[in-house]
Amino acid sequence: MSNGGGLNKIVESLQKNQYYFILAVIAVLFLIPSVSSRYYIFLVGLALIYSIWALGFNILFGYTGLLSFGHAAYLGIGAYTVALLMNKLGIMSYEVLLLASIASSLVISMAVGFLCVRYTEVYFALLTLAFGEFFFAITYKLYDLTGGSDGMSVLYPTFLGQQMNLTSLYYVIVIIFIVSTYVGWRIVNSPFGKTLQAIREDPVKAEFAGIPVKRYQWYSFIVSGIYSGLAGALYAPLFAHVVPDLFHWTTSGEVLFLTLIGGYRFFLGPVFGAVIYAFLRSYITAYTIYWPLILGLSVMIIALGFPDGVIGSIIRFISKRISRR
Amino acid sequence: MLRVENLTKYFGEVHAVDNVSFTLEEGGVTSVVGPNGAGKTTLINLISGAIKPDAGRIYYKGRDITGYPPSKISRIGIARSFQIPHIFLRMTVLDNILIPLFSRKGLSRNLIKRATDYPEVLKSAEDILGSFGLWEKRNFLANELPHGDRKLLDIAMALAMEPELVLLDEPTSGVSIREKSRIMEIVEEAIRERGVTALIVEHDMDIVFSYSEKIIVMHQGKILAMGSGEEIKRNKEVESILMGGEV
Ligand SMILES: Nc1ncnc2c1ncn2[C@@H]1O[C@H](COP(=O)(O)OP(=O)(O)OP(=O)(O)O)[C@@H](O)[C@H]1O
Ligand SMILES: [Mg+2]
Repeated sequence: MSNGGGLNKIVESLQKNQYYFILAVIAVLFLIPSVSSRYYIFLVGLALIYSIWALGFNILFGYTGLLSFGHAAYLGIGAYTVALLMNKLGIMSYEVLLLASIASSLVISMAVGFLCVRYTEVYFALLTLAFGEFFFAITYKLYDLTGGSDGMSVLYPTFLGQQMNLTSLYYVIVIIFIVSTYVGWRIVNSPFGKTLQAIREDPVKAEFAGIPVKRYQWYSFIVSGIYSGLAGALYAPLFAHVVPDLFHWTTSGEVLFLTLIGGYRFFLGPVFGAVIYAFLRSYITAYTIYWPLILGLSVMIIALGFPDGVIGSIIRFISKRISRR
Repeated sequence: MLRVENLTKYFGEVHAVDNVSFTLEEGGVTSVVGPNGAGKTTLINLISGAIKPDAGRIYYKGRDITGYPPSKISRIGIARSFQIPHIFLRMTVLDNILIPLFSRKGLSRNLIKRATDYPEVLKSAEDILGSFGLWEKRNFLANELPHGDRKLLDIAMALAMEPELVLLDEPTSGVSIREKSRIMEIVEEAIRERGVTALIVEHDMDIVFSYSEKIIVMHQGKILAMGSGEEIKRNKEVESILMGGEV
């Protein structure tokens, strides 16, 4: 029980200063465009997009206890919604494109989730993987519509009637990141979020507490899918290009990796993981072609030595120091 | 209140519950006793919807509830606890009790308001955890609780569903003899205070005789005898089976 007490103390002290901490982070995020190069604006933007995606992924994985191995699909659907509407229908308004991506990822994750939650554990993971590969295959095959393996290029859209550029896109990403993080935090602390955690802990008991478990797993899948779709809608103009690889299982692997790196048991774990991942990858790929190897090794080390990820290990380290006093 | 007709469940060759019929009147405690493997847990699993019977029907307040899923049965008034406690281990004791309370009050879908921003739900949580001596431990993680408290929390969660009928599977299994009577006192008081009808599976005959109005004796999936404590005590066949089968 001392362990619980120690952890509680740290959480308390973090909670006391949390507003200053949050304000500082937000201030830094808003200042980045005026102090750094285009490359860092891009990189931080990318890290935030990964964060949104991983936060959504972790509502399903860390909070509901369901491992989706096809979460690239919803990122891809968000990105391709933007690319298709822009290229085929000439829609340039980002407001419309964002709403359309939310709508398409909502519809697709409702349909796929409805089928997948009927299965448990490894079968659930396999089915989500299969759906991911299905979307990969059709974007690849439908050359006339999607450009096949060439993909499609994406321009900067307009926002509130103004032509966007990297900086204004970055600000939109920051704002959507802040809002979706806040909403995610509210969700995991709401009765709904607690109910998801209960399902993760003991689905049998949850059922006897009057909770239709499959239905709640489905809801969680949909929430998670919308986060991913939104991330995809931000990803497309930032990268200026979409390709079928977005749907590939290796992309699905990325969100799992970075969530594990950060720590899936902590709300902000995926965000830390996303930032670490985005920066590490950009540095390492600049110096060596062995990025996949290094990625693989670091995931192995984390899985074996630091199962709670970076945040978990830091908290554990501090709580040990405190309880020793 | 509850009527069970010709309820039957086989596991391969094992007749776990074999053509069992009985009725429960509203109020009081009915105990189910019988040696290991008699089918007591299976009976509770059948009534609570955890498994579906091969034959027979279950009526609750005149309504045929056979085949209902557990989530539905627990919302229409039949809650249960488990022989091996089922609790949400990596959540706090308070969160554990909030889950059934939210579910009961139809709030589980609410996804923006904080779980701790519901004063009336917190009041019910305090009330129930208080009766079980767990309110002081509300901020502990459930996996920090000793076994006895886990059993109590499991039962408290069942009562948080505000059931009219509660099925308790061996509320004192795995706890020390000294703790047994403490747990039974707490449970009995919590049940009677709330006017809940209870069907309790119990091994300890002393406990059974002191707390129950009615006793059902099961053996090899069948009901061997049913009656008051006095009637059961006088039954020679029951005595030999309970003595022979006790562990
Ligand atoms: N899921 C199952 N699959 C196969 N056999 C089962 C299953 N559940 C119970 N049984 C068998 O059914 C019989 C009745 O089991 P049950 O658990 O209902 O007994 P019990 O009276 O609760 O015993 P105990 O006092 O040990 O808890 C036993 O022979 C048991 O092995
Ligand atoms: Mg049993």
